Amino acid sequence: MIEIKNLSKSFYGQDYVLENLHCTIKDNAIYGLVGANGAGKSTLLRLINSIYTPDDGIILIDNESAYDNESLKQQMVFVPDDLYFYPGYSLMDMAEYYKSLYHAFDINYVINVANVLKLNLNAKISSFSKGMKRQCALICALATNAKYMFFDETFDGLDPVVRKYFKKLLAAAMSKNDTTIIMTSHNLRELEDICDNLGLLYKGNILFESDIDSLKTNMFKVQISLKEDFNKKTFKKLKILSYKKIGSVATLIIDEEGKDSRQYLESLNPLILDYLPLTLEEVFIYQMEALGYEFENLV
Amino acid sequence: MNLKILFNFPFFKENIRKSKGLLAFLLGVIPIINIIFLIIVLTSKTSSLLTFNLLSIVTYLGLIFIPLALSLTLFGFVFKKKSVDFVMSKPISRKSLFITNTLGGIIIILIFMLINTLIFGLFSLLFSSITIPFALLLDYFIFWLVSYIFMFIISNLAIILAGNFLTSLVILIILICIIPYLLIVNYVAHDNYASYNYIVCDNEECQPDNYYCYNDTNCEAHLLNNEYMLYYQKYFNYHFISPFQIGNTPTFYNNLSIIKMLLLSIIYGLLGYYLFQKRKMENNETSFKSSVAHYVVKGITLLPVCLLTFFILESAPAIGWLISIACIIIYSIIYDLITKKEIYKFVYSTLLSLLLFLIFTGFYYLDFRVTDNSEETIKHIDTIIYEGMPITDESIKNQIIKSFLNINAESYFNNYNFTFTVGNQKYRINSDITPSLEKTLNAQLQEYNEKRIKEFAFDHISYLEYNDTLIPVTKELVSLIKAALENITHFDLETIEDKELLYIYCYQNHDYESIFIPVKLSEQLYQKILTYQNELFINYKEENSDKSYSYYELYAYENDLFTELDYYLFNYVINSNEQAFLKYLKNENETNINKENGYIRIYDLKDYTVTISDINHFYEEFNLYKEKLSSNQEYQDLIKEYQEMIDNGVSFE
Repeated sequence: MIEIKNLSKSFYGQDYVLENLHCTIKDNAIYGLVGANGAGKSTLLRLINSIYTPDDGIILIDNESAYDNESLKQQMVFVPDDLYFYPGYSLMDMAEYYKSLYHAFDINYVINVANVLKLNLNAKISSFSKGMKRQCALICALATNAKYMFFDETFDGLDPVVRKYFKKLLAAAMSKNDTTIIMTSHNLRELEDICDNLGLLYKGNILFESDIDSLKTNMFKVQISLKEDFNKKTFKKLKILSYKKIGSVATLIIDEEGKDSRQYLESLNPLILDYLPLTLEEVFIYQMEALGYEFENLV
Repeated sequence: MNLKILFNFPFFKENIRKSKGLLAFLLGVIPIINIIFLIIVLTSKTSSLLTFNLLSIVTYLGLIFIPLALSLTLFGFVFKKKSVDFVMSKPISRKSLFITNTLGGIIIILIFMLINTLIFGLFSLLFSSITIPFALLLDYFIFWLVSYIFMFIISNLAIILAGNFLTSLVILIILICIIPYLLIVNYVAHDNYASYNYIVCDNEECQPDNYYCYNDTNCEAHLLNNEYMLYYQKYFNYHFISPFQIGNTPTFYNNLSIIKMLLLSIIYGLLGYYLFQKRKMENNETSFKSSVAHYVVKGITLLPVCLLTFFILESAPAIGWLISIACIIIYSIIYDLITKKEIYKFVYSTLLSLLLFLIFTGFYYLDFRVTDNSEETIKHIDTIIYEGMPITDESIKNQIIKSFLNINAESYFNNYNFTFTVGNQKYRINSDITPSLEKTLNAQLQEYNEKRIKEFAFDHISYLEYNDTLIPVTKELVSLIKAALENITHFDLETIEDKELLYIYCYQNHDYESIFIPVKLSEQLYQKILTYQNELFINYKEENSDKSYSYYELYAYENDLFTELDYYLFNYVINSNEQAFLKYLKNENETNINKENGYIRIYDLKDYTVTISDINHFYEEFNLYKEKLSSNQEYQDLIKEYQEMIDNGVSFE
């Protein structure tokens, strides 16, 4: 389990990128960290991985301080957004490099996955395309068999087929090693079908976090029209996150919080009553609106 | 503490692997140039003694860039954000990373120095014309190993402190210069700046016969107290701050420098370790996290820039100020753009740069010439050194001081060099001395040299040199020298001509010590030396008969047998009878120490000297050669040419 307490970080004495951040990430889950550009997602991952030193606060992984903890780092692997490979190295060279550092590194895994993806193991990585480079980094990271994996802009540059394949590999890694995966993206659609939990980083803090299933099953977009004239107060028994009425049709975003809204709305004898599914993006936008935040940069 | 945990070998191995090409180039370039240097020495026209300095030339050239390149290979990742992400996220702690890279770098330097030392050692073993004593090899290895490690440690520190390469370079230069670590004693040899002081001379023995004050009231006042003006040149102890300023020294090797560099390596190493633990890894692709540090380093880089503008100001005072100010502003902007990737606080930064420009320019206008005109009357000279011999006898010292103080005394011999010490200070004086003093000094010198010969470490002889030829040391030669010296207790070295002196070199106390003895100490020794010397040339001629042309020059001026015409014709006569001459040289096995010798210098692809053990016998041989040429037109033309030159007043003296 990853516990982050009072974490603060600023650069060059300027404003805090992260300020008094608290967060708990459970084991054996895929945690999606979302946020606008500059929200501090990459900084948070760098702090967890001891690349940066926090100004304040503590990061505990399995109840141990994570900072510069060599034995703990055997269980952690980080793939940054901006990839780096040693000049002239092939995927095989990189695999050997990782093998020299990670005790549980599985070089056969690299060979097998590279074969599936038709990556030349002995070609120089510098000659690869952006997507292929990302594939190399992800393969090496997965082959470490680390308990905690951190991916920044995980699927950046991957085509849909390869993206799907890696999602499968991540899921397999999770089930095989009880791996906890923390991945960031500024694109919610990308995380929607793989993450168990989502955290929204906004202005240096986790503003909102929840598991995806409850987010999706609790929130609905409802289009409704009644015989009589109506307004927002008509639905005061429900938790309305958003209310818009155009003509005689109103669009409601309802957070059910365990209650059954359909039964109540049907009791109002509506002319029109449609329940529409919400995308994760919409869920987040409406949640933010409800909290009074502008969320225009995310989508 | 478990060394295995601190030194992560797989990480080190991969670090080397990733930079193997660069490392092979960097670590190979100096040994390769060293090999080229040794080949040049082997094929050079003249033989020369391989001293510590000569051996170090190439290694010295790599002193900055090899350790810096090594540091960049191991620690340079801190300059790029993505390489920081890559390295620092790996399962290796900062402590282990620093220690692995530092120890790894030191191991590489150790291998590098071993390669260089082995190259020198192998050449010394394989080629008789290159002799490098083991003690010299050891000195080379230790001195440069410590120097390279020191440079590597401070390069690491500079990289850890900086956020980009340029800034690290500036910090490196500051670190190199900030603490003096090379102690070199140097001498200010400007006669124009000869200094003077007063010396107390109460004793009649040292009071000058001729001394004038030329109406100088200060001089007259001193004279009342028996204080005399003494002109000298002072030795200054320069604590050179960097290896860039070696100066004119007999040897780079310096134990104190080694100790200083070792201590500083430990201090800088520990500082680097501490700073690496604390380093903000986000500080990359920019100069410094702290703006104060940025300004300090920028200010220091202005020093050389202001030196350039100083020259502009010197050559064009009026327009020079405008040009200089423009240069400083442009430099200030460019520096910020390079190091900070932005024009950083333009007004403040520019004003600061201009203020520093004014301060540095004022600094450059100061006169830093070193003279010693402070009046510190010398009450007592501790030691006077003459020809390397320390004189402590008060009576002789007084006589020498008298010579120093005498002005325009007649019947004095000219220009003898003396060094004298007063406490820790060292001075040099060129002085005339009386013939009787010269005789006394030479007698003492004779005793001194005899004592030195007796105490000389004959078992550690590195070189023998006779008549410009380096003779390889063999056990046989050493025992011959020792045996000869056992039987002879006294010989007057002053009366022996140079052509009869055998120079013996021994590498001890980190430099060559030399003595000379008469080559004719024993028949056997003389024969061995001559045979080696002559055979060197004979073998060369036999091996290069098709491509060599030798120019022969006779040196037998003490012997009156050879005429000026003989000297003039010598090269032609010998060349025309070269085979006969070589045969004569081969048969020169019978040497007689009682017979007068002469020598011939030969200029060819390499220079040689051969010694003729019996010059009178050779004269007869030479006449035979001449007779053979008597009907040769070219020979006759040469004689005619010589005669015409004599008639025209050309002198061959």
